[in-house]
Amino acid sequence: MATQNSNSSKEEKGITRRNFLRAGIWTTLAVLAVETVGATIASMWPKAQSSAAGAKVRVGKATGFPIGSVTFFPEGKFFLAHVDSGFLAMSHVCTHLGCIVPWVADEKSEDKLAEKGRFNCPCHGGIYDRYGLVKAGPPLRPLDLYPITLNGDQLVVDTGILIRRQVYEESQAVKV
Amino acid sequence: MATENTQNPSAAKLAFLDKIRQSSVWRSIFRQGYPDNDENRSLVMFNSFFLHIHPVKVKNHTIKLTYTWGLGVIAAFLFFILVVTGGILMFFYIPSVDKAYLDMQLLETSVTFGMLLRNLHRWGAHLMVLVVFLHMCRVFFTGGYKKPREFNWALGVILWVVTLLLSFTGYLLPYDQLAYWAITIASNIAGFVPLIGEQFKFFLLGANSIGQEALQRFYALHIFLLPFVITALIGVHFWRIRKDGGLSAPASEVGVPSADVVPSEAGAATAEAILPAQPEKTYGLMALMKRTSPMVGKAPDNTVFSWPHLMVMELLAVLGTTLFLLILSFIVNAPLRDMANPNVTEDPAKAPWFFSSLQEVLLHMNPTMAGFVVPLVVIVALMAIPYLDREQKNVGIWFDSPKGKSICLFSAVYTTIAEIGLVLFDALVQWQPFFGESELVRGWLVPIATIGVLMVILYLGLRRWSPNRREVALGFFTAFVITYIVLTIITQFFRGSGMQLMPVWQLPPGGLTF
Repeated sequence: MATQNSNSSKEEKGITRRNFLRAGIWTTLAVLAVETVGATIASMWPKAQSSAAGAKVRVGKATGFPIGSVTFFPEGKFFLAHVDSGFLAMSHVCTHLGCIVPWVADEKSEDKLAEKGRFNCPCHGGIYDRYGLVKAGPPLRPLDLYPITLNGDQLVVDTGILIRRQVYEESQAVKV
Repeated sequence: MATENTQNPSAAKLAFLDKIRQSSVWRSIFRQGYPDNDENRSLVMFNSFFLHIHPVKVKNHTIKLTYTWGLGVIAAFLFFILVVTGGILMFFYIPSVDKAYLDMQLLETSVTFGMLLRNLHRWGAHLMVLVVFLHMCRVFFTGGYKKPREFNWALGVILWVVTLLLSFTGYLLPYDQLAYWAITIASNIAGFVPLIGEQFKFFLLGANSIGQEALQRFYALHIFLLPFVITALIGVHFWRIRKDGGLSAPASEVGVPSADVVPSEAGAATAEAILPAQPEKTYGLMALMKRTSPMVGKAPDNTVFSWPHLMVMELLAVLGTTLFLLILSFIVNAPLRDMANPNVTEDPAKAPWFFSSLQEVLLHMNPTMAGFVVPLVVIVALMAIPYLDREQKNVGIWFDSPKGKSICLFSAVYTTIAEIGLVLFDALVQWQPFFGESELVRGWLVPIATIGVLMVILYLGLRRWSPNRREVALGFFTAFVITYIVLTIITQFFRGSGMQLMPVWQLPPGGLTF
């Protein structure tokens, strides 16, 4: 009876010295563990990036690119496609798993603008047409776009801004 | 005991060598004489740091070549070779995008035996991936994962994954086209992990695309962090082998319960055979406590001394592996393609062969499903096997029984046909338009339904044998192994430019990525 009473009175007081110390030790350990892991991850988290800067690339006069043409600009790493509704500047990175998509000029076309020419991804067989739309394979969205502005009669592509899209809309193409 | 040996009559004609062996220096290092009697055979295992990992005696069954094929020892030895060759390679390599590729060329052209060194490391790594996988198959098909070895099996699955991670991180270091694009694809798969994908990929690479940061991170992981982890895990894995009672073996080989003696052909039924009047094993008394141990109710196993029986087998495994790897490294050179070029992806861009099956899966479904869900499910399922299949019958017998053999054969044939059929179907039949534009349907529901239906058919096929849980596990594990093999072969040998299906003789140059 006596022990029972003392037990219940301890419970009423809420916390024993033993429990307090135990909780303290576990809390200290947990905080230390979280701090260690967190600080390690934080230190590994890149603050500054070396290759983010995207330049504006002046690609030339619109008249230089006939409808249906696709031109690669190695310095800006994009394709300039002239489709029926205007110009598209598309990143050359596959939206599936990041391989570089080359323009294959002599393969069967997947759009109505020309007989031949499409993008073939070498990694997982993705195929895109002149609009950057997925025609076959596993990619989930069309090729990403860079915004095009007109400077007089010159087309200028801003490679600092990457635009993700799910579908093709005419408004994406820049009319000249 | 030392004096006992030296007072042997033959010691009268002491050769020079014997003098050394009796010097106080020699005696301080080796505390017992040459293990040519049972006492010294025991002491050599107790006293030598390098041998104490072994038990003094092992089951007769353990040293049977056709039981283990030495695969565990070979895997561990290959890891040792990789640590040594990797350590030497560090003297010639700087993990910098400007220097790495150049260092590889210099290693091959300007370092004496540099090419051989690189070959040993490269092929040793590939061989280790292969041997670890075969080791897992061996343990599964002989039922070695069963109680009390469940946890060690799970550890082994983790070791397999860490082995793959080690291979994967090492793959980037030469910084050639093969390396760059394989890692680009893999890190983009990481980007498809649900919720944290993009951040995870950014963290892994230290940037948005592969460059100096990624190379340095992979280097640190490859030469320090992952080897540290795998060394620790190997230690626990070995320790558990001993604590779980050595290697698994058929019940007829393990000490049979003395209360309930089952007569066997070996004539082990006589009391003397089970509890010999003069036991070969002696036990030291450490302390007394009240509990049951794995040895309760069991007679001594059918064992032989580790020295020389196990030692000879291990020596042969190590020698055979060394010779095979050396000859392979003399004949075949490790590939080094053009320097990594972020602007041109090789066509075809293939993963190394052990990730080929994963790459094949990526061709057919949503990347999150193929690169995250499928591998996760496979790993969890593998680790869960011993907790689902608790049959204790037929441990230590390849494929369980003749019935088990039939089940494995059926599963292998069925899976081969099903996988080839599926790949051909996806390549030849335009099924996608039928399911509309929805990625949820095309990338998720259709693949899940297909896999589900194929597994149900497999299970219905197994029902013919009215299987127990062990036999169902046999069927499904066989399906997993065969899927891995068939998909690897298809991707490596039958996919060319743009990952299109084509026969092996029409593959473009560089179509194989070993």
